[in-house]
Amino acid sequence: MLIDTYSKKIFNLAYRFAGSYEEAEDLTQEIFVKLHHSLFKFDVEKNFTAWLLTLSRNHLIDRYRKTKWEKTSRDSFDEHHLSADERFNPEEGILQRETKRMVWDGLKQLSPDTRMVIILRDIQGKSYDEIAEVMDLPLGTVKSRVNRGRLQLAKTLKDKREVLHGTL
Amino acid sequence: MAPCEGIEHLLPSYLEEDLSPQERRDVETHLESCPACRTLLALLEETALSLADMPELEPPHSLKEKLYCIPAGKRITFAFSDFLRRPMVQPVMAAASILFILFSIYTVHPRRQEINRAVDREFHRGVRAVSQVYAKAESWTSSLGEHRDTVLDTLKKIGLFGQGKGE
Repeated sequence: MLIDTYSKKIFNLAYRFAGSYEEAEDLTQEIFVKLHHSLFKFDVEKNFTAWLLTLSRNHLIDRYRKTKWEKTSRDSFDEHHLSADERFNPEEGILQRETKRMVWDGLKQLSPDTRMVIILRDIQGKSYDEIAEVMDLPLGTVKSRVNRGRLQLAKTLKDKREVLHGTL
Repeated sequence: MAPCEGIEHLLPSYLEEDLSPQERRDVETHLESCPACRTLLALLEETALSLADMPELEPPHSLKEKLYCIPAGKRITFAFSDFLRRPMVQPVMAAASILFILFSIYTVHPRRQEINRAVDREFHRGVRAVSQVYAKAESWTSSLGEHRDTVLDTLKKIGLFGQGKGE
């Protein structure tokens, strides 16, 4: 039941955070092991999804600090996303796809906390209140981190485009 | 014109329509005359669209199979480790560890025969001491029995049991 409901969500969170498909598999497994160990601590009056996301966030950031995935590069965007994107239409826009590639690569340049809030807010569409609960941060701090991350990604996109146009 | 640095950090909130009316007016006035910030705003919009449109991946089937295997294996480990962590069990575990260490020392000790003899001697000495105490207690009981009638008569006479009054 838990696996059917949450494995996809957790796997995607781990993949977007770590950027490596194999790493995301390992991380998802570790998070579910932790979940089974900690399930008895869950307060039934609280929101389970937020609780699980907090547990996942803690694990992902702890693992990041211990292993520093940045030493290894992120998977290429096309490697797994191309087959997953059923809406992809070659005529729809090569530029849009290129933008997605650059934004995906740009995620690795964000600090782990900033990357996590960007994933929760802009990819998973969580509210600021939910993110504040998951990250255990004040609402204002979450908003400023999201804004900082967005600006950083937009500037990375600009730099990458300039490099691309410079080489053409 | 307000400097770009003062406006840049407001642009993400401007897109989300999360600014006060005054801040909004400041941003719009700045944008009218600043192509660099207009470009940045367009890049922010593109970034937001790209992130929102990231396709969700299906986890591999092999991963789900591994996840289904977790509960059974891990719950047993958890239950046992949880039992060992109970405060009540810890003194027992400590005592068992000490006994185990003593037994290990005994089994590998080169003068084990002497230890056996010493333990045997001390054991028998203990048994002898206990039997002596027991024998002494028995002799006191029998001597008390001999004087029982005399003691009871005396007690009756002084009326300790309330019978002396009638006599």
